[in-house]
Amino acid sequence: MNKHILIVHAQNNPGVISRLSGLLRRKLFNIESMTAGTTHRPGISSLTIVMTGDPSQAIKAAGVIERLVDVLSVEVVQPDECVRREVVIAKIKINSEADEKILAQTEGDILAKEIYREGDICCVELIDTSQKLDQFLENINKTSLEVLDWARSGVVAVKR
Amino acid sequence: MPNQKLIGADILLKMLENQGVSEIFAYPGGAVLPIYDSMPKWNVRRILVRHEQAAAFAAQGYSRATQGVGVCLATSGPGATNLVTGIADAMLDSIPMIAITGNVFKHLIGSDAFQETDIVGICEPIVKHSYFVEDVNDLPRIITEAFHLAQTGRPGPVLIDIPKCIQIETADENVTKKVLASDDFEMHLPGYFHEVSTEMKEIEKAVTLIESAERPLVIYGHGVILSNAEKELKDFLEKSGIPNTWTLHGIGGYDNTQDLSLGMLGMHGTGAANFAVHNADLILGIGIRFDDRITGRLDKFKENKKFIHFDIDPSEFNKNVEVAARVCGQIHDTLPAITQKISEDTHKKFQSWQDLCLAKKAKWALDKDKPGKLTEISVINELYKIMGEEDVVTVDVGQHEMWAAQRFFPKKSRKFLASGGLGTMGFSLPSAMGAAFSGHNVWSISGDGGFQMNSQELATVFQDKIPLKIIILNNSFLGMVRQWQELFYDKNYVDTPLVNPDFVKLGEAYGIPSFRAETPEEANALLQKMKATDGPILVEFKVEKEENVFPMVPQGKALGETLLDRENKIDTL
Repeated sequence: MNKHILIVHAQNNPGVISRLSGLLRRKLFNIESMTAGTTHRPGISSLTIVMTGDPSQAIKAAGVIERLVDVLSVEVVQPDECVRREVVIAKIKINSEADEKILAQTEGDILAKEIYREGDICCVELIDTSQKLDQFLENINKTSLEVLDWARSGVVAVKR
Repeated sequence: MPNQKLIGADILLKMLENQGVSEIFAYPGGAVLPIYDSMPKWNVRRILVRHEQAAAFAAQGYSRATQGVGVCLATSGPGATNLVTGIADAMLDSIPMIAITGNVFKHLIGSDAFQETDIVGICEPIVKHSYFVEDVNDLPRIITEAFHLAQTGRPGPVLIDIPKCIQIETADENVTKKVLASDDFEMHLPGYFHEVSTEMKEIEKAVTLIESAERPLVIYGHGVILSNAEKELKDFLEKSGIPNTWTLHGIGGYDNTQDLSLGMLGMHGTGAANFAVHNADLILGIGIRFDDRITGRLDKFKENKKFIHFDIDPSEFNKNVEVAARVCGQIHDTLPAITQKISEDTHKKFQSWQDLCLAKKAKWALDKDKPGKLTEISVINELYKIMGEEDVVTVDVGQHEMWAAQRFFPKKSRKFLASGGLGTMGFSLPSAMGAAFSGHNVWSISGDGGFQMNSQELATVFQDKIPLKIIILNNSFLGMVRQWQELFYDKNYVDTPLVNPDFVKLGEAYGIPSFRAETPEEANALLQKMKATDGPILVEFKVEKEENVFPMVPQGKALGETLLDRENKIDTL
């Protein structure tokens, strides 16, 4: 299934996220992630939507999003037209000395950063493309490390 | 008026006045009491409906018949939710409308207070835009924006939800001054682009497609009327000589009695119109949205043909059919560019196609009256004969709607009002109440089923002395559903036979002169009486019970498989 990235700029009005997500739900678009935040322009939010489907679906989604009065612009951007990142925080239990070594190795392989440690609990942060994050989570699952939880931020993107 | 103080309720009503609103369709309740308290101070007439759904339909009827923007108002909770069907209906038919609701005090919002509903949330999918008013000083800007949004671009309903505390809060002095002076308020709509324009290359593409076509066909719809492009359509059709057909909402967009006007298309379209659609090699969809009721089976509809699509809403392009040329913008701007560019003798090229369409039109004429029997068709035919050119008809939903749509060819637009997209039973009577403010005679036609969905509005008609001519075509069935049960469910008539009240007594109980016709002679005499009556009048026509609407395209079938009657299909090339 193809993934498409939509970059939306909207007025930061009450209900704008609800309008957007409701619209995408009722038109039966498949949304993988949606992130929102402020921009350098006061009162304007930027949203990054990742959806799956064929390219015509992405164009249709952009078309209906554009109809929203709060929306200033919407663009379907190709991977090579934007810079994008996602954050993962993984919470890992360290059961042994061997685990420590594996963790250090895994972290080194994919440039993860330890951001919290108390007792045998460790939190690791990774900022990269979604693909790299998938790889990291897959790799870590193959080791003896016990992953207690993880959270992903969804993609944020800026057009090049 | 030095230092005059206005509260939110006054600001609302004065702003409505400033927008040219002279009447609103409304029903009182706890969360709009401050607005009602202020009403006598302002020149906004209230029409007291008996159910909020009727307020929404009356507001729509007003918009549809007058080109203005109808306004409805309801209290919070059930008042607001009762508006929902009428708002959804306006959204699907792109009707400009302002719905105003009261809500509970701001400090109670979210607490499940008495008669609290999240009407903004409920209406999210069925409005063009909505507002929850958080500051009384925002109200003038919001009302200005709401009217602008409702009417411009692709029109639609706008909801304004006003908590009760805002209605009683005093506005700032400078805001009050501006409102009282009828000054304009600046809008803040940076994301709203309603002035779209089409690229010249799409116009040129369209011209090339028309000139290289052999069997072109125009399907026009509501967009022509909403864009006030009736004259531009006429110019195009007359110069190009392209045969034409229309959607339910296209009725009156062009003189439907012209030779090359083949009739309405779609599920109950004429044989000639559906033949032409099926066999065309180029379709010009002018202000239509290729809805399933007109396309029938979509893959067959699209087969062997190209499409030029005219619409103001870019998201309509390629939604249901892939288009070869997309002409975006107001039709009254875009169509003349094409009319101008096509050569003078374009129409000659289509001679054999025109002849073929005309032959089919003559061959597959619509059902006629049955001599001696009172049928819905006979009443509709007679009404069409005696109606004035300016008269407006509102229909409900079902068989009578389709029979009327097949047979009404008003010379002007905004004369045939129907609930097209949502298909709401109960539309006719309340929308007729709103349409009456056009100043023209209004005939409301309903079946016995749909009439009872809003029959309480007879009280409104009586109290507000709305001069409607109310026709009930009583076949003692939910006719269209019964027809489907007959044709596709082996006559398993579950819950379609209706045991009805005495409609004449019902009308009389509301103080409205009411009569019954059981024969064609009585029917014709009573239609004349209706025409001659100035005030409200109601006539029940006891019509044949089990008539079917033909032509018909069964659901899932192609237009090329149109049934002319139970046995016979149209033929195709």
